[in-house]
Amino acid sequence: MKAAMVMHADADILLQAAELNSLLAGPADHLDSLEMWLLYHEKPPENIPRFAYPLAAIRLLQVDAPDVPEAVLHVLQQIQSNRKMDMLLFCSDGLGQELCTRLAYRLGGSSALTVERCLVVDATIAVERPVYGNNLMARIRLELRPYCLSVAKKGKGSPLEATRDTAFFETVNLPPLQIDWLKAWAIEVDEGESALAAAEIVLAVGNGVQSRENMQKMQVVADTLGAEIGASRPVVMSAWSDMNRLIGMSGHILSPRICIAAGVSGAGVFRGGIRNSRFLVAINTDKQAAIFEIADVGIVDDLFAVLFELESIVRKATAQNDAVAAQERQNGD
Amino acid sequence: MKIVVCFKTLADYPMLTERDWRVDEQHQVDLAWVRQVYNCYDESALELALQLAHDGPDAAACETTALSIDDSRADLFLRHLYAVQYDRAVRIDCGEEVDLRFNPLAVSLLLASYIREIGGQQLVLIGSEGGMGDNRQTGFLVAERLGWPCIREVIDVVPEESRECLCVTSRREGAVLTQTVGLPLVLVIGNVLRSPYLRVPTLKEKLAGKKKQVLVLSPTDLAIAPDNLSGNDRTLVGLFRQRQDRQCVMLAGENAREKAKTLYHQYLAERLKG
Ligand SMILES: Cc1cc2nc3c(=O)[nH]c(=O)nc-3n(C[C@H](O)[C@H](O)[C@H](O)COP(=O)(O)OP(=O)(O)OC[C@H]3O[C@@H](n4cnc5c(N)ncnc54)[C@H](O)[C@@H]3O)c2cc1C
Repeated sequence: MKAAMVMHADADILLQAAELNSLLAGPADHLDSLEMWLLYHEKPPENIPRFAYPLAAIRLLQVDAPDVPEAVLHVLQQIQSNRKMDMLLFCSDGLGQELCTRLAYRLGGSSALTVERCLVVDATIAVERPVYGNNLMARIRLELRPYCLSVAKKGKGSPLEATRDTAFFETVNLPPLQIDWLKAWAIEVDEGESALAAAEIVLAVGNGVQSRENMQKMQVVADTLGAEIGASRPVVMSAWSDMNRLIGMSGHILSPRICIAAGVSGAGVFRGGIRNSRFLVAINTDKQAAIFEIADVGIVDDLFAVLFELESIVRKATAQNDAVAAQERQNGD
Repeated sequence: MKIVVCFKTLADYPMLTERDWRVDEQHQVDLAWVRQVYNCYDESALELALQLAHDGPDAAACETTALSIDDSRADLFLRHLYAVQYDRAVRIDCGEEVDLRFNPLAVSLLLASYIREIGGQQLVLIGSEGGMGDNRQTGFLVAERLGWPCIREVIDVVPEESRECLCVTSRREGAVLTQTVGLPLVLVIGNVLRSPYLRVPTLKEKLAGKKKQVLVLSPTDLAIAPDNLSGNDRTLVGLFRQRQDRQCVMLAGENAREKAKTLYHQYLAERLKG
């Protein structure tokens, strides 16, 4: 089986690579060759990820309108008609999902998004992906070649190492597509990335917080704990928190050392975002709340009462530790 | 301008407990007893279309249609959409035998056929995710089938000054993209902050909505033979609940202070140090 990974140089390529690398574990033994098709706009990246599987080629594909998927699809269709891959793997972001779906349609292949696992069963490809609001997992057999898969978001994980070995680079020049429906466009950097993605301690706040003012109080608690704030969809949609703080299948997928989930009911789509926390505390007034099913420690109580107490305990402990450290320094002098 | 919003109601999953997630041998889950709700992305799309149509100066020239592929349980929602002033409410009923959960190709065939053959709309709005299969592909496939451009993760759409184009705002990784685009067009709706929820109808509007007829179509009305719906690029071969590995320890205590103390001393103090 011949496979190509479609990646784009604008996003963090080493993280994209880590997600795709994890998907390759299943089909690896059945791959005769693996290529990387790297889309770029102005200048190709200098660093290329070092995969666990040898790359047969890295093909650089320049696209003049990277924000117009139609233009990218046009390029991909042309290269696939030359290369005839059996399997095409796409990144987890919106562009990866769109390209995967639309290219599969154009090529008469099969597609699946948010793929967590890819397996080869009796010479055909099967994938596992979350369904029913992340409450169930489906195993789906793909029937038609090329098999087009977009990997599930994995969260920060460890990016693959970079190499500067550009020996395999091959620039592919393809005629661009004329786009007449797009009259004008502008792109503006938004809130930017929040520090949430990389946080070791997360305070995940849900609708139980009830107001923007209360959310500000949660920020004080988070600061004392050394935590980053994350939020459920209702909190973000009420504008009590920024969009780049959204946790869940439509937002961040996190795996912090500690996560405290306060006032969240624990919908499957939200749980997907914190399930991989190494230690998970849930605080909810409702003892039946689904969030307790995935927690290590649960507290049935008012989130404000518990968190304000916790904040005060941690503040005192930190002050004490600081005083001891200062004393030790003084003694040392 | 004629606008169609494609939507699908969902079972209110958070109502279900661990015990309710039972999958039978046909890979089905019994959700018939669970309350249906709007999918939040579709709800934003439905409101966005109303604003685009009714709140602009060309209101008289706009026509809005709400379209769903569903059984008769969706009629309650379609009448509600009449109440919030949708001009048309259409349901495509494929009968119980057709399983569309993991078949976005068939879903997009039905939607695109309606738009091309009957509705004649030039603008399609559709929620970015949801549905039992969580396929996230329907909007893209409708665009492919119609041969129209598509914009994903849309968070706003307003008429452009000249009124010949639309100004579409969408979210990209860490950025916001604004595009001025002509019709026809498919918009896949993401997290709309400006007005995420559907407006609330007055009592009078509700009563009027209840009296209106939902147009129910079958695949045959759209010139689609049943065989065309069973074709799929994928086959569901398993559906299962993932095991939860954690055993939650519930902290006891007289009050919140005691519980917070236990939490800190027994579980957090060391872990916070890293
Ligand atoms: C297609 C789709 C995708 C979605 N994607 C996401 C996603 O990525 N992320 C996401 O978050 N949601 C997502 N949602 C929405 C999701 O279904 C839920 O509606 C949402 O997660 C609920 O958020 P919540 O738990 O904060 O709110 P609620 O369900 O309202 O729960 C609030 C909880 O707070 C508790 N509470 C109230 N007051 C207090 C108090 N004083 N102290 C302690 N506890 C209290 C209540 O008991 C309740 O359990 C998606 C929905 C759909 C349809």
